[in-house]
Amino acid sequence: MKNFTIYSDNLIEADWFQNLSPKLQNAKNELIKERNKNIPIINELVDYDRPDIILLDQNKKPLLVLEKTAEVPTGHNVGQRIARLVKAIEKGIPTILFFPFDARKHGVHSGICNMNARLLLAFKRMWEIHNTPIFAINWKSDSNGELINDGSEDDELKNILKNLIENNFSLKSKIYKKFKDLNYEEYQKRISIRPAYAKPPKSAEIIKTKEFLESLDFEIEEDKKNILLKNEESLIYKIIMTEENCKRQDPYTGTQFMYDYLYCRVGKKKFEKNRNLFLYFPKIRKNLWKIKNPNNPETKSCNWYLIANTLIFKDGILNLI
Amino acid sequence: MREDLIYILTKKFFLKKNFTLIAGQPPSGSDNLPVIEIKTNKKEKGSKDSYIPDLVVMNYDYVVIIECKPRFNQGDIDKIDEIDNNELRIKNFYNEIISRNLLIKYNFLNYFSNYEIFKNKLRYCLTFSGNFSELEKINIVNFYENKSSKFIEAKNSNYKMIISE
Repeated sequence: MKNFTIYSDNLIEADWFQNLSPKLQNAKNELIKERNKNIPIINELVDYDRPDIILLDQNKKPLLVLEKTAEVPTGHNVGQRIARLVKAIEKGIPTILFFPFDARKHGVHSGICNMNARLLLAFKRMWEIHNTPIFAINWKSDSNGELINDGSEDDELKNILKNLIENNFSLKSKIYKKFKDLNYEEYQKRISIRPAYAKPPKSAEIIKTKEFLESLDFEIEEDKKNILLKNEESLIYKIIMTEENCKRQDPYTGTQFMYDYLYCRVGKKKFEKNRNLFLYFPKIRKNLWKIKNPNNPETKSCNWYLIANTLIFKDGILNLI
Repeated sequence: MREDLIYILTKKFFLKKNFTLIAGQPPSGSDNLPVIEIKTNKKEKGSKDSYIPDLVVMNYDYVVIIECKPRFNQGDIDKIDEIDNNELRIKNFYNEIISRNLLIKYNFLNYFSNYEIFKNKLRYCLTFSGNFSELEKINIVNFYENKSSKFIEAKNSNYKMIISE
């Protein structure tokens, strides 16, 4: 039997994951430590953010990355967990997000929440660009929208793991294709009910690059402007944070990955885009931003500087790639 | 001992004693259990006054609110006292369980058929590693480094849980 190692964010998720397969019962458990304090492959995989589970084989080769949440990724929160998964895809490691597609939200305004279907299309694009499986598994809920928690909610994952272990986690495993098709069917079903999900959200607008740059209240140096004008169109991800509340990342830095893969990215490298990705902060001054969100690789604030062509403030631009 | 390990050991302890896990919010990460939020005022926005038990377990005799901590902490006793002295919170706790159909789902409805019975069967438990002393209203499960456990009943008979060894 293989000697697996389960790296996890905490023991509760490791315990849950380990119980998904009898073949994992003898797996070694390790906790993911802070940035740059893990073995090299784990450090690389947590570079953008920490996924819940990273499964390694006996040679420390990553086999699978998994993220689990009981929250329905609705509206803008859909992007919150994406940064935890993208690094794995970039490195060719199959990745699964396990979450409820639809479930009841409790509280005064209780009701059934449905997932933002753009997530499924973003996964399809990521898969195609990196030629690596990434897909969503539904944590089923009952007719009242309450999450199933009698153990059967894990059945699908158990089957997937059984299959992957039997096939030595081969990327050619047929189960991947099955879930790619299922996810895409789910996406099509959902956009037929809610067509708005087939287009960018209000916060992300596709505009002619020239038109947008000319609308800004400040001048951009000619050489920089020429670089940005290489793509005729740009996706403007408008982030309405105030200067007082701009020291944060979630859900924006995760969501930027979704928008990049959905509307801009055409190749594996971050600059391989057919549209620019602009992060636009109309209420924030550039110098204040640099103090509150420095490009410091020791903290998550460096995620702001990962993939956008540039960050645009009310008085200037920053981090041209 | 880490808080997440105490949480796992607590679940295993109560499952072994034939309790059913009803709800839970682990110290970090996520579990496959519903999260129950107990508020004083249901209409108030946000979670300012909300209390989320680490675990809630039930059997025919008890519904137990459990706090899992690495070591004994007076703050946890104060938190549980606040719940116990607040009728509105206990009512909201009952209503949360009813609204999620948890009594029906786990076949406990006949044993907790109204609020008064529910309230009389409500118990509290602290689980942690390290030293302990008996508590008036709170039962204790103490865990040791070798993962063994010891159960200590509350002193007050109205709060005591009798569970098989």
